[in-house]
Amino acid sequence: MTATVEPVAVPDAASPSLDAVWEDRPGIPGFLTTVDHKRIAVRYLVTATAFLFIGGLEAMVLRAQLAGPNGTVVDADTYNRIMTMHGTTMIFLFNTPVFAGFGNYLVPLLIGAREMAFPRVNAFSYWVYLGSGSLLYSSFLLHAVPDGGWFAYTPLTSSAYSPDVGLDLWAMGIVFLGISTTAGGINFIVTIFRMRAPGMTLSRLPLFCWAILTMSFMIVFALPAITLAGVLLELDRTFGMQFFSPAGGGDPLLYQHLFWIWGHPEVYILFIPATGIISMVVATFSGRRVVAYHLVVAALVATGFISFGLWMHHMFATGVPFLVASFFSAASLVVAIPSGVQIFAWLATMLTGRVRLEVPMLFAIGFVVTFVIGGMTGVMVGVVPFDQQVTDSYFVVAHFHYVLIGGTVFPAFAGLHYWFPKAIGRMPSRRLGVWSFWFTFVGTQLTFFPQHILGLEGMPRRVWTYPEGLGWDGPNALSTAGSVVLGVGLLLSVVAFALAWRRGEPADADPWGGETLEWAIPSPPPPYNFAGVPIVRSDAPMWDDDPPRAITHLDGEDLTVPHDGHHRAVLTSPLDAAGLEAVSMPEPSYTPLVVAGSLTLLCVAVIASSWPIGLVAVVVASAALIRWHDGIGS
Amino acid sequence: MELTAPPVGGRRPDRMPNRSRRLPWRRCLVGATLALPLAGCSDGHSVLSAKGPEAARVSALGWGMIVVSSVISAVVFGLLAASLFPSVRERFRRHDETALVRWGGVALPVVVLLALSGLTVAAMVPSDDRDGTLELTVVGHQYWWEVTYPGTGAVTANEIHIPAGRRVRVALESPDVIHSFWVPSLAGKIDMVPGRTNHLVLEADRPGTYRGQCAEYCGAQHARMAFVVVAQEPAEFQRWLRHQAEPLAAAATDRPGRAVFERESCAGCHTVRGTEADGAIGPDLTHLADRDTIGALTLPNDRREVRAWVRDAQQFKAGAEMPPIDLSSEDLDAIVDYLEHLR
Ligand code: HEC
Ligand SMILES: [Cu+2]
Repeated sequence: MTATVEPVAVPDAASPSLDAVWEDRPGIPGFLTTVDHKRIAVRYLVTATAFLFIGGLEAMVLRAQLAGPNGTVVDADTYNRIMTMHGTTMIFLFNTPVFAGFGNYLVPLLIGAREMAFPRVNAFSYWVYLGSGSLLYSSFLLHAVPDGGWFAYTPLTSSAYSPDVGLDLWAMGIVFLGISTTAGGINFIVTIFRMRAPGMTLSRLPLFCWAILTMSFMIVFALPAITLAGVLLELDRTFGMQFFSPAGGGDPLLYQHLFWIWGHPEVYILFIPATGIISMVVATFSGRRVVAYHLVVAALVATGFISFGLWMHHMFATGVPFLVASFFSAASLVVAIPSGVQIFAWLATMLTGRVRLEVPMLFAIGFVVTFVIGGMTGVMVGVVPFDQQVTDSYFVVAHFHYVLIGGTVFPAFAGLHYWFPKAIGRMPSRRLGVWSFWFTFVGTQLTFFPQHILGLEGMPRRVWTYPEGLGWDGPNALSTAGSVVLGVGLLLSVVAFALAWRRGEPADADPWGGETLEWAIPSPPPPYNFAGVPIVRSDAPMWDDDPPRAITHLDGEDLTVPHDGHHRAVLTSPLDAAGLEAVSMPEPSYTPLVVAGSLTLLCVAVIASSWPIGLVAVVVASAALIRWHDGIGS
Repeated sequence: MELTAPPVGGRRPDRMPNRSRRLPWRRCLVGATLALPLAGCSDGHSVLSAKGPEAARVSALGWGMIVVSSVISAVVFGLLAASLFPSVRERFRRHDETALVRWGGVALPVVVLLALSGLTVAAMVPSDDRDGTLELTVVGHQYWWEVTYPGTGAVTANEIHIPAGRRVRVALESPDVIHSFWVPSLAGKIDMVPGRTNHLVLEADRPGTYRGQCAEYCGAQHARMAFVVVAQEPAEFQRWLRHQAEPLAAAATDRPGRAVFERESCAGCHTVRGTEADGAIGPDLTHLADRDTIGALTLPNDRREVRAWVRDAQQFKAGAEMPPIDLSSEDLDAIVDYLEHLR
């Protein structure tokens, strides 16, 4: 593999005006109005990482309390609230958004585009995410942190058992966040289908984009279920409706169905983009394309489909009829096959390539090890009688932390180390990265492996304390010690990034010798990404020296030149990326921020049952929406 | 009532026959060589050291899966390690590269999972209802367990007695939120869902005390919602059951504390059968003194702890449905004395 990077052919005359047209305004106005997918992505990544550490801090409190029997660090009520926020934060505010961040940064770059299809919607999605995160965390200021556990099962979360406003904030926050996630998903789908560089047929689409595409479709189909669950819960709570209350003819299990119809696909919504990152990293550091590309794509799509048929495996202990349980059990086992395909595709890639142990690759290997263990226990919990033993025990806690930390945190950090030089233009320290990896890896195993044993020894999850003499002391102590190591490991990466950001070695355009288009442009990329239109003539555009990447004038019209001073991009046909068409793209605007802000206010109004605030919010949001298209060229 | 308290989660020594002699050392040895070095080594509440046929089916399946998945993981980790060595890579490069994906990623899981599906369904088939199945009902409350033996009048709390060697069908209900009934060494867990009745089969091979705990997060004191299953020789069990069905013990009828108990709020929440106290919010106290612990295994059932509990249960179980009660010291002593006579 040669990774010589040719300078991108930029038409000289166009270059200065490209900068002038695409550059954001300086300072705060630029910050608030930008629609640059890269800036938005970095925002997503920084915010999500911040939430990772907030959630991590919460986890440390939980682990401190459970370090020994009869812990006195926090009381029952505090423990339960922090536990609820830990789960909510990690799933909703870290895990989903962090991959929205990666997707936002990378999808346009990987497909040779200048922007996401709907740049303002993109900005809007981020602000909504920030708004719903703030909504959830405002519960700390109101001394009403939700206490229903992150899946908020009724009737425990009905107003009778959880009267304070915490759960209203939870339900509204989740419903509101759904808008952001759904809008993001649609944006990815349209971007991937319409904005690919000419020549990038679907069968040349980088695996990361396939992963984001699959994730986005899943989001679009799965999100309505949790939105419905949240809305019904809120109606039950505020208007005394009886959807989930048996006394009023409702059924608490209805909530569980709705929750898990979203919740199970959600596991894969988190995991699939992570596998996309791994595919990119493994390819680059094995120096070859991922083996069995078509099988991997098929595996991704299959996972997407199958994951919708699994939700009841979270409910095996609710008293499910034999036949139903058998069906869902079988489906739970079947979903292991596509994961097996992916694991073996990476293994085959590594075995037939030339592995370089750079930091991103270390995290990728850490992912494989951790995820395989989590996958094994995942198969075990698909087996109904075994699940009835271990569900809601620490065994399951161990299982899903292996899957989520192994399956998403390791890939996320692999991705951060891998693309940091591209985004920031500086290399993070390899030494710190290696230390970070080892601490994270050892910490993860130390924290979560003993929890398998705790579960098998009968320790239920979500207990704020436990008595001595049950054989739980040792594994718990180990687990707490491990969590410190894990925390240090993740912090070391952040330190590496902070140092590199300030004074790291400058990175050139293609420091790792990557296969995909993002490495063709300077680090950090200019606001318009590609000065010309890249033409893709092979599966691995950066690794094919012949023919070279051709960039610029097409069909007699120079599509690279800004048109009437507007952002310009090209559209191509959905399947074979042909039939170029030039369009003007939406430019920076305050409207996404204003709409998101007023919708946040609307949520506050609903929770506070305040009509005046609600009215103001609706008026402002409508006014801003009317002006949504302002400044968009024809 | 014994004044020397059993430990929290208490087991009377006489109910733990041969405990020290039956250390499952062989299990531990197997475990140590496998992925889960500590599992199965302690008695009383472990998934992998089953104490009855229901749990045994699962523990066999569990051990099998642990072995197979350890082997598969080892293979994957081996391949991963191999990829770091150029000499191994050379050998692989000569083969069809997608073969590994087809065999390892498709064929292997298909075979393993098919086999597993078969075993799963086999293990799920409900065991036949044998004659003479005993029925009992357990109702989960925030945060304690009400245990009734239909047709006998016996009601107790947090301590479920069953005859050893007999199938017991437990009906599970909840009037408030979702709880989950779990005795790891006897059976898998089943949720108690408001508005439904679920069932679970318990069977203990031998007499003994088996710890159980609520497994579905149910609020503030979910952690302190534990219980024990006490399996007894059938004759002993029958004696126990007959006794539990009886109303207030003669010895307690004239204790001065009785009047205080009935005058104070206690009677509004607790039932003592054969007296005016007929509250239904808290546990039936008719035979409180027979129990080893109070507060769903929160405290040992001895005078000092019961006194402290009656004065302020919140101190031990913040969020439980029993409020602190303002009593003079004499009244408190009288009540505790009365409670001690509820045999
Ligand atoms: C508002 C209802 C209420 C009142 C009043 C009340 N209790 Fe309770 N009591 C409960 C509940 C509920 C429990 C179970 C708490 C738990 O374990 O979570 C309980 C538990 C107990 C227990 C432990 C029983 C066991 O087997 O675990 C004792 C003993 C007891 N109460 C005694 C009293 C006495 C004596 C009084 C009066 C001074 C009293 N209670 C007043 C509701 C009440
Ligand atoms: Cu409970």
